[in-house]
Amino acid sequence: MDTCITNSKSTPVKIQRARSGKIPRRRQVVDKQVKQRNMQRVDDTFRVMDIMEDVRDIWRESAPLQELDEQQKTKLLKKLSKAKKAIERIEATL
Amino acid sequence: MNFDRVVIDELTLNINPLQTAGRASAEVRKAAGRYTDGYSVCDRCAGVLHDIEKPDIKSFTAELAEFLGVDRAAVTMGAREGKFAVIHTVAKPGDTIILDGNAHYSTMVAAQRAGVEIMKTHYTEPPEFKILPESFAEALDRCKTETGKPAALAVLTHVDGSYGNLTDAKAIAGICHDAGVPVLLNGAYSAGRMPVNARELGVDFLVGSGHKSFGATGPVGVMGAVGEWAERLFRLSPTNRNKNIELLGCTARGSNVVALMAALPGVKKRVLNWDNEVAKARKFIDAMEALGDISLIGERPKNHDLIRLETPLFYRIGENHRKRGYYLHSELSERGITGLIPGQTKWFKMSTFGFSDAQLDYIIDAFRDIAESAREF
Repeated sequence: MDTCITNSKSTPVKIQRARSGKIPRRRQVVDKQVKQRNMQRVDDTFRVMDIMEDVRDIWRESAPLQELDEQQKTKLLKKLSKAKKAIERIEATL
Repeated sequence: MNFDRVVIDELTLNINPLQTAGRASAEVRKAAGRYTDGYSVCDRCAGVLHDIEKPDIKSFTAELAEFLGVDRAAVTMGAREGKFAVIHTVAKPGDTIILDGNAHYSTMVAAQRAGVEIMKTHYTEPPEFKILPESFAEALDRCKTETGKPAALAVLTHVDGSYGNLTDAKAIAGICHDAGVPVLLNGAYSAGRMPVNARELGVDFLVGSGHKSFGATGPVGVMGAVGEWAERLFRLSPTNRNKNIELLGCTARGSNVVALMAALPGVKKRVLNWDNEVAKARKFIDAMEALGDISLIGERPKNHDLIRLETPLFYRIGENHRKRGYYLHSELSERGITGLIPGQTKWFKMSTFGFSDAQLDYIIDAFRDIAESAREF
């Protein structure tokens, strides 16, 4: 006997019962919470990479001596703090 | 394998004129980093690169056309690819095209690939090596006399890569049009650095370099055309009706096109700062010439950031130095400045583009320091 379910785009998908005839084969879907966790991890990964690109610009703007003025130091520390937090969030999901 | 770069812009001031206006901003690097997988811009492609809406290459292309002052624009793999596309569109094998006397070699090989003959204009006497509008009038006449046919196209290097001379594109375009010859402006060293508008300059085609002058990850370039020429340049394949022939269907289709897209807002702002860039170049030249035995090669006053200097002073110092001609590169490296060719002391090319006032002063002080300490030695 066929069982009709819908996929995420609400398209009817026909699946057949497993050979045993009793347990319907289930569609493999990513659990909502897992999906959210993964998205958060990837977002944070990109966040860290983006912050590091901003840090690279601070080095470029102050090259070759990299003697930072107070404004640059504050900006850099803020960036590093944000990066640390994002890395900690990634670690917390492991 | 080690992929560390020889020159690290976070640690050094890179004065190589090839590099200064090609440095990618953080915003560009962030955007490009999201599209490093092969065909990643093509996830939502319906068959035409310039019609992709995610990422929005379609809107970007329209914005690019407006910025360049052309009716239609496209992203290419670089200025040379654009030059070939234009030459291949306009001229037939055996035709003759006119190039300015300071044309880059890539213009010549583009012409040779298209099977056309080349005729060059004259430039003025040293040390300026300028391309004057009348030199195009002379070359157009020469072409007619020698070949019996008018030139099929004139290709003008807006700013050349040898001397950084800025040509009078508007006057030259007028002369060529009076002779019935279309004009391609090679803006590899101008578009993206300074305001360049094809329509205002009266040229028919414009090409530029994304990696040289838009601060984009290469290889990438821009190409545009005005009026009826746009239809011809962007003609479609008779067999694959949505594919551009000269673009071979699609051009830059990865992190390079995304980098160019991300670079454009910054480029629009920086071209407005062009007067300041020229002022910095002139300040640098004045400081170098004040050292004595150093002189500018190319037009005076300077109108571009690419600077060529004749430097007998550094050559003489090198003759008595234990590192010979390599001392200059070595001394600069020790001060965190790079970009000169190692061993070169008789003359060199460099650029002041994009450096802060403090960085420019640092570069000037470094050259002064090297010159004065060597004099003592």
